[in-house]
Amino acid sequence: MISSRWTPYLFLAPALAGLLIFRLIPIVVAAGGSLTGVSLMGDMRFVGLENFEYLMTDPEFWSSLNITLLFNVIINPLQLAVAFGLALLVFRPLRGVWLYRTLLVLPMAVSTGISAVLFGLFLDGNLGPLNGFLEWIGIGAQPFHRSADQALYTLIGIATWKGAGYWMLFLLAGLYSIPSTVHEAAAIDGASAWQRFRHVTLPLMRKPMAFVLVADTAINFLFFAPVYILTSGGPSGSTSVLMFQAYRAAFTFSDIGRSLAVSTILLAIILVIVVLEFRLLRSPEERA
Amino acid sequence: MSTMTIDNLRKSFGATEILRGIDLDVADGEFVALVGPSGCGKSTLLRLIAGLEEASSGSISIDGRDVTRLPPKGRDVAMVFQNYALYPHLTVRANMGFSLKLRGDDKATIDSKVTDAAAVLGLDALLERYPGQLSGGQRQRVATGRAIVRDPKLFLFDEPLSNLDAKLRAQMRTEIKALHQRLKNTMIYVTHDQIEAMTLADRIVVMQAGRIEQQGAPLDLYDRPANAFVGGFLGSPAMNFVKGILGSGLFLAEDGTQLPVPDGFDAEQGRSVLWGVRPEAIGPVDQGFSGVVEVVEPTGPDTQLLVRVAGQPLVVLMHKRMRVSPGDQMTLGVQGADIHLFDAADGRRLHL
Repeated sequence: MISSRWTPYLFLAPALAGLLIFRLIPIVVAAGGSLTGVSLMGDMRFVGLENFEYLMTDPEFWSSLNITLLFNVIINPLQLAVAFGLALLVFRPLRGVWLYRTLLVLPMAVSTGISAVLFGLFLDGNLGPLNGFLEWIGIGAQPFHRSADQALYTLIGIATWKGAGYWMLFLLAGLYSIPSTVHEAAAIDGASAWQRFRHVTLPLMRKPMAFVLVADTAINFLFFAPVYILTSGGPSGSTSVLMFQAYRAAFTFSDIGRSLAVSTILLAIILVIVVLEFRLLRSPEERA
Repeated sequence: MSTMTIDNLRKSFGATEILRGIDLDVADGEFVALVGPSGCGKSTLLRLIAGLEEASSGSISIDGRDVTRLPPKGRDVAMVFQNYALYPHLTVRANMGFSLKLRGDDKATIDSKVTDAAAVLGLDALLERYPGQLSGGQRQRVATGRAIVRDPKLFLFDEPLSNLDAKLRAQMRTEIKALHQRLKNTMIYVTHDQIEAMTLADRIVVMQAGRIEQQGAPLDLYDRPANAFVGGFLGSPAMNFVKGILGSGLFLAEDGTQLPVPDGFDAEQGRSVLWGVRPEAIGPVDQGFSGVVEVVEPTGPDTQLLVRVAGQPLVVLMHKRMRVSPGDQMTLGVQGADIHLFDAADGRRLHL
C-alpha cells in the first residue's frame, strides 16, 4: 500500500487544480487586468489605479452600486425567508408532499435565459396573462419591467421564483438533520409548537441558513441574465446592476480594464458581506 | 408523588398492531422496568405514556386523571432519551433550565433548582459547557438532570444507558438506583438489558409481541417464570431448555436421556414439555445424569462450561474454579426445586 504524507494532497489535487485554474488564476488575472487600459491602437498598457479613479467620479457607477445594494438588501433576506417558509411547509409528512416538493424545485430546471424570456411574455402589457388577470380583478394592468419604479422589484420576483425552491432544498435537508428526539424532548419539557420552532428549530437551523444566505448573496451580486434579456439595465438605468455595468464596459465600450475594475470591486464587496453574514450567523458555542 | 393506571391500551401503526391490550398499574414511588426483545412494544408503550404517540384505544391515567388524549405538555412527565436529545445550542445550565423557563419560573428559582440538580448529579463544573463538549456519561447525566429539575409526576427512561460502554453503564446504573432511592419518584424504565431491569426495578414487566407476558418482583420472575419466554429472557447466561416428554416421575429427552422433574410433580405422561434449568442450578454430583464437557470458559470467580447432555449443549455455571478439560465426562445433578417445566406448545409453566 502506498501511503505517505503526500497521499492526502494527491487526492485533493484534482479539486485544487480546478480551483486554481477556474477560480484563483482568473481572479488574479482580473485584478491585474483592472490595472490596465487599452489604447486606441489596441495595445494594453499598465495604467495603475486609473480605472478605479474614473469609476469613483462616474455617477453611473455610484447609481449602479446603489441599485446593486438595494437589490441585494431586499432579495437575499426575501429568498431566505421564502425558502425557509417553503421548507417548513413541505417538511410535514403529508400525503403527496413529494408532488409539492417537485413543483417547488422545478423552476431550477428552467434555464435562467428561458425563464427571463417566459416572464417577459407572462408580464407583457398587451399579451401577458398576468395583466389580463389583474385587469379582470380590478387592480389594473401594471407596467412591471417596463417602468423604472417596478423593474427592479419585478426582477427580484423572477429571481425569487427561480431561486427559492433551490434554496429550500438545503433548508429542508437542514430540517431533516435535527433529531426528532430533540423536538420530542422540547414537547415533553412543555414547549408549544411555536416555542419549539423559536427555541429549537430556528437556532438549530443556523448553519444551513448561514450557508444559504452566503451562497445566495454571492449569486445575487452576480445577477445578470434577466437584466440583459428583459431590461438591458433600464428603464432609465433603474436595473443597471454592477454586473451589467461590467458587461457594458467590456462589450459595449470595449474597455476591458474598466470592466475588470468593476468586477474587482464587486468581488471585494461580496467578500466583505459574506464575512459579515458568517459572523452574524455564528452559533453561541462558536462565539464562546 | 403519583400513580399511573393503564387500561386495555392498544396502538396500531397502519395495519400493524404494536400494543395488543396493555393493563398496568404503577404505585406511587415505584420503579418499574419494562423489558423485552426489540420490537416487543416497550418503547412504544413509554412513548404513549409520554404523549409522544397517540393511543389507538384504551386509557392512561396519571394520579387518577385521564391523560390519554393530552399532549406531552399537559401530562407533567419527564423523559430521558436513549440518545439524550439534549439541545445542542444550549449550555448545560440552559438545557436543564429549559422547561422551567418555558413554565415561566423566575431566574432566581431556575438558577437554584438547576444548581441543586447539578450538585446531585456532579455537574457543577460543567454548567457552562455545551453538549458537544461533554462525554457520553456526562450527557446522560445532563439528560437526567433536565428531568429531575422539573420534579415531574413521572420519570420515563427510554434505554438511557444503552449508548454507554459497559463500565460506565454499570456505574450509571448504580447512580440511577441511588437517585431513585433519594428522590422516591415514580419511575418507568425501558430496557432490553435484563441485568439493568433486575438490579434497578421494584417490579419488572416482561413484554413480548405487544403483550405483557409476566410482571412481578425481579427475583420472583427469575425464580418462577410464568412461561418459557420469561424464563429464557431473564438471566444471563440464559436458562437451558431441553425438549422431550413426561414419563412417570421423570422427563425423557428426545434422545431418551432421563432427566429429573420437580419434587412431587406428577402430571399426564407422554405430554410434550420443555425442561428448563438455570446454568447455576446444575452442578457436579455423585449420582445424576452424565454429560461430556465441550468448552471451558474460566472468568476468574466463575467457570462456565458447555456440557453436552441429552444430545444438546447445556450451559453450566460454577461459582468457583474447576479443573476440567474438553472431553471429560461429568455427572451432573439439579435440585428438584430448580427445575422448570413448560408446555411445549404454548410455553406456559406447568406447576406452581
